[in-house]
Parts: sequence; structure tokens; C-alpha cells
Amino acid sequence: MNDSNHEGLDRREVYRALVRDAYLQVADNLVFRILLVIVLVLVLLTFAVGFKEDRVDFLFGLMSTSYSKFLGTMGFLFPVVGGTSPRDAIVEGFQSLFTQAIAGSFGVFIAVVATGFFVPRMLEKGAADTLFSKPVSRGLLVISRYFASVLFVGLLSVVLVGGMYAGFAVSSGYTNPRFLWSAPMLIYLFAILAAFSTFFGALTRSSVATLLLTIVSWIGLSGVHNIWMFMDYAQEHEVLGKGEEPGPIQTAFHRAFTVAHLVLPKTNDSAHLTELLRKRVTREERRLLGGVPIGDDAAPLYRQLDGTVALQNPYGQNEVVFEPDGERRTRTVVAGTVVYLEISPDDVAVWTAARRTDSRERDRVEDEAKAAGLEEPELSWPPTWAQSVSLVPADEVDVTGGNPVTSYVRRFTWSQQRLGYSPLYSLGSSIVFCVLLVLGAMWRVRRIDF
Amino acid sequence: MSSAIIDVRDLRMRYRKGLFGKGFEALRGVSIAVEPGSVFGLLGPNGAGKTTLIKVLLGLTTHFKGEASLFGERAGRPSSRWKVGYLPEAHRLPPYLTGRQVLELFGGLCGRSRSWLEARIPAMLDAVGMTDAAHRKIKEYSKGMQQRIGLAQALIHEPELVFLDEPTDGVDPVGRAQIRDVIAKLKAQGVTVFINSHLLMEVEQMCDRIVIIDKGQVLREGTIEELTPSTGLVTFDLGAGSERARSIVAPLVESLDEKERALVCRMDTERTDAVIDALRAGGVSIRAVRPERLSLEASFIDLVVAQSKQEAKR
Repeated sequence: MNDSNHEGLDRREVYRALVRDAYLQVADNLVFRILLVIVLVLVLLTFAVGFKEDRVDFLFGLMSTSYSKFLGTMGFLFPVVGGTSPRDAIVEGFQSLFTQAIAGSFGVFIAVVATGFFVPRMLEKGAADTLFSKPVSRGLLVISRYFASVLFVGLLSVVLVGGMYAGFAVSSGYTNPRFLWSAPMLIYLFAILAAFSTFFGALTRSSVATLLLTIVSWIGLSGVHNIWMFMDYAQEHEVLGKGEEPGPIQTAFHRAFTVAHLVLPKTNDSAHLTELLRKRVTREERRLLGGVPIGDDAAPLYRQLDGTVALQNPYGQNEVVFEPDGERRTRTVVAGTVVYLEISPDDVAVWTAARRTDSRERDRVEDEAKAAGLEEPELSWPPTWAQSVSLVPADEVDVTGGNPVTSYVRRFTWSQQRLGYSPLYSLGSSIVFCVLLVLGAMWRVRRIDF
Repeated sequence: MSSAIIDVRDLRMRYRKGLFGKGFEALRGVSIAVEPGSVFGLLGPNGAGKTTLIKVLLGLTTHFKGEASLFGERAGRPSSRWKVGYLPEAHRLPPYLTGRQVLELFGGLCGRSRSWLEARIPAMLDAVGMTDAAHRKIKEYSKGMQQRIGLAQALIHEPELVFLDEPTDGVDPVGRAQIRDVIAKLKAQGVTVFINSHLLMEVEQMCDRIVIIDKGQVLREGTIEELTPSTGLVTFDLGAGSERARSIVAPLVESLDEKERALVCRMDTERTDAVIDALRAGGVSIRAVRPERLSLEASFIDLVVAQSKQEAKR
């Protein structure tokens, strides 16, 4: 006798039975099988096509072609850009396409369709009678259906991401573990939607209504997040009326969307959250040191946990990472030029190019700066001589990147104090809301007379 | 404290209709007690409240008034159902499971271990005649096969109390006989069986005690003998010497009707021995003596019709 009060009966067996039932329900699902086949085909393709440094191999070198021919066959007429090599750029592009763009939208949509009936079917007359007459609480059965849904996507995500990772590792020699974090991203996103699906399933007991309401909720959550993000950015940057105070209607809307954004789960944060989590695990977390003055703006300069320093383009998403090279010095290569960056304890950054080409040019620029009344000359990039600049203090650096999306992503850091931009708050509030939804579903199911 | 395994007192249950609707009162003060080890039959016309009573006992409906307990625990608590098996009417088993997996699932949900079930499942499948179809999915089963596997899931964890709601519904005659066998074995093992059925002959064959309910009220409760009273007629099947029987018996009975090699006598059944003695003394051979009782069906219809008339008068 364990924790039940009846001889020979074990409550742990109840949990085992529920888990097994969840698995069998998922495995028998036709949509799951179709998705699994599609996923396996994608995985096989990653094994069959190998992206090498200078060519594309098919079937482990049985056939080869150049990148330009390969891309031309696929309808692309431009060369590979981005990444440290054509191979990395293409592999990362495919990984991003299949996990975030396809699995993260279309795949999750199909998963919602495929699992939306789990709770309504359990509550159908005849099925409910049999199941709820067992010595298991209705709440536990609702939770088991929720986890069956999450298991559905969990299995597919693990096979897709793990399989593609293995495929690219074997055929292309590409093993960046960053890609593996796509699986928890997909599971987190779907776990939020599954909570809605469970709630609506208990409320309506209709598969069609559950599906429609869950999809509408997903669109609604995304809409609330985006509208709030744009309104917040507009208000902070006085985009809508430069120099004017926002009107009462605008303020009311902004407040309403702020409250909605704070309260509701944040599906749009799934990718950002997993990225932050990945950085914490891989010690790529960063601290804003200050800004490097470039023209009228300052390029944010970050110190990362692994000792690297990242200089971010103030107008875009790209950045340059300097690897540690000595006690204070860091090193990178920009357009074929080795550049060193050294930051002194009093926040003065010294740039040194490996090739000091023209000291007369440096003197001329410094003379011009003095003539213009500037203490320091503007930084040219990449620098061609040793040049020191005083960093703009961290709290004065504009990290918004000039648009709402970049602004949101850059401010979404663990140390963020504002709730709307805080990953901890995003995670906590999403979990709380989803727990409330599942509790609501349990409460509703407990009150049903079958 | 009552020794009854099921104890129901003044149970009332109303199905609500909308927010302000009065709804429908399915149970109107039902009181019953079921002793351990008995086969208990619940009879009633459609809509009498039979299934509602079972659902209250199993916690499937929770908005009731009055007292209802299983094994001394208030009905509705999951813990009161550890030792209970239930075969619902028109049940729907998970279509994605095989017959065997259904037994594994429901046995597991009742706290039975995998090894315990492994040992038990073959015998259970055999008992309901489903061994050959055990590895097929439920969605491939006929109605009768689903009913058989449904019965097996109700019994797989060896419950002490089993509720069977129309257990032979949709099952062929061979299957019905198998189910009756299973119920007889359960009774022999001391398991309490609560049968809800409108098949009066089956209830008559299987049950020790019967309750007849209609419109949410108990109309009559008792043993088969109590519910099927004597009609006062006794039939004597006769052999050699039957031509002398009429003159021998006539003084001893109120009236008699002579049929081919049989006498149907209206008499005080207490005098049956005296009639037999007289016939034997007169050299008449007796093949069988059959006191006639009111059939359960006739008794049931009389009760229900009388109740309907009373309701109509009100």
C-alpha cells in the first residue's frame, strides 16, 4: 500500500496510466503522424544535402555543385551574404526558416488544430462517464490532457530540431548548438496556446469552438503585444506628435494596451526568452558598458560574460564581437583589418588598428577636430590608427535602434526594471496566466453534471 | 452505523436548465440500501432516474441533496471509487486504444500495477470472449464487442462493487449468456453487483433484490418473491390415473380447470401438500407441481401504470 488507502493500489500507477494514455492518444493521431513524416523528410534532407565551405554536396559527395548554381536552381540570383562563411549563412538560414518561420507559425497552428479536440472529446457523454467514474480527480484528468497536447509538440520539436542538428552536423559539419534552443522555444509557445485550448475546451465542450477561440486568442495576444510595443515606442519618441503631449484618447489606449500586455501571456516573447536563456547558459550574457560616439549617436558597447565585447550597430541588428586578447585588450577582424579594442577602468576605449597606415592622416583629422572646437575627432570605422574615445555613459545610450522592434529586443534583458520589457516578468506573467487558464478549465469540468 | 455498501437517503437531484429555468427533478427523495455480496437490480421505465442515481453515487453529477454514500464515504469523492467498477450505458471507450490497452489504462487508473494487470488481463479477456480481438483498436469493434470490453474494464481491478448500466445492451444471445455467467461468478466471489436494466427477464434471472423506481421515486423494493406474489393458482402436471384426478381434488380447492393431463387449481397454496397426498392416495401419478406467480413484467407494469394514473389524478 502506498499513498492510496486501499490494499494493492498505488496512486503512482494512476500517473503512469495517464502518461501512457497521453502518449498513445498522441501517437494514434493522424495529424501527428503526417507531421512526423514531414519532419522526418526534412531531417533526411539535412543528411542528404551537405553544405561545405566551397560547394554543396548531395548524398555524401555523390554529386556536387557550386553555391551559385545551387542558389540559382532554387531561384536565388544573389550571392550568399551574412554569417562567417557561405556554409554557415545557408545552414543558419535553413534552420531559422524551418524552426521559427515554418514550425513556429504553420507547425504550431497545425498542432493547435490537431490537439484542440483532446479536452472536448474527453468531456463527451459516454467517454466522460467511463473516465470520471474512476478514482481519479477530474482536475488531474484535465491536466493530463493539457500535458498530452504539450507532449504532442514536444515530441515533434525534439525530432525536428534534434534531427536537423544531427543532419547538418553529419553532412555539413555545422554544429552550432544555438539551433538546439529552437525546441524549447516551440514548446514554450505551444504550452501557452495549449492552456487556452484546454480552457476553451472545458468551457465550450466543442472541438470547433475550441479551435477557433484558440486561434483568435493567439492572433489577439500577438496583436496586443505589437500594438503596445508600437504605442510605447511612439510615446517615448514622440513619433505621433513631436513636442506635443499625447491626447486623452491616445493616453487611454496606451494605458489599456499596457495593462493588457502586462496581464496576458506573451507568445511573441518565446524566441527572445529562449535566446536570453541560451545566452545565460552559454555565458553570452552582456552588460552595457556605454556607447561609442558615432556621429550624433552612440553605438552600444557590451561586455559579455565570456569576456568578449560586442559593439552594436546603432541603426540595425548587426554587431561586431571582439574576442579577448590579453588582460584588457580584445581583438576582431573588420573588412580584412585586425582591430584591437582596449577599455580602461575610467571608461575610455582605445581603438588600435593592426596596420597603422598614415599618421599624417591622423594628425590632419585631429587638427580639423580641434579647429571645429571638438575635443576628440569623430571615430572613423574601421579605425586606421590608435584612437581613444570617451564612452557615453550607459544610462545615456539610446539602445532603441530607431524602430520599435529593435528597441523592444534590445531592452528585453534580465536586468530590465520596466515590467513591459522584463523577461522575468514576461515568463512569470505568462506562466501565471496559463496556470489560471488550466485551473479555470479544472473548475469548469468539476462543475459539469454528466 | 449501517452495514450497507450503498446507502442512499432522501436523495434529490434536479437538472438545471439555463440560469433561471426550473429544470427537471430526476430524483425525488430516493432511499435505498444495498447489502454487500448481493446482486441488486434497479428497474424503471425510461426517464425514471435510474442512471441519475448511479451517476450521483459515482460522483458524475454533484448537485444533489440528501445523503448518498459508498463504503461509508460520501458519494462523489474520488477515494470512494477505488473499489468500484462501472459499465455506463452507451459508453465510449478511447478509440485510439486496443482492447488490451483499454484494460491497462483503466486498471492503471484504479491503481493497479502493470505486472498485476499483466497477470489478470488474459483471464478477463477470456471471460468476456475478447481474447482474439484484444489487439484490435476500439474503433474497429462492433457495438457488442465494445460492450464486452466495457464490462471487462469495469471489472479489471477486481472491484468490490460493480455498477452495470444495461450490461447486455447490443450483445448477441451468446454474449448475453457469457455476461450472465460473469455476473454469477462475481456473486459467487462476494462482489456486490448493482444492475440497472429494463430487460426484466434478465433482472429476474440475476438479481437477489430489486427496486422499482419511476419519476424519481421508489415504487417498490423487495426480493423477487416479494415482487412477484402468488396468483393463487397451482398447476399439477399428471401422469397415469389423471382421469380420476378431478374428482379427488375438487373438494380440496376453490375452483379448478382441467387441461390435457393437468389440473389448474385456484386454492390456498398452503394446502398444496394435502392435494398431493390425496392424488397419491388415489393412485394418480404427479409429474410436476407449479405454483403460479405474477411475472416481474406484469408486476412492474401494474406498478408503473398505477403510478402514472395517480400522477394524472393530481
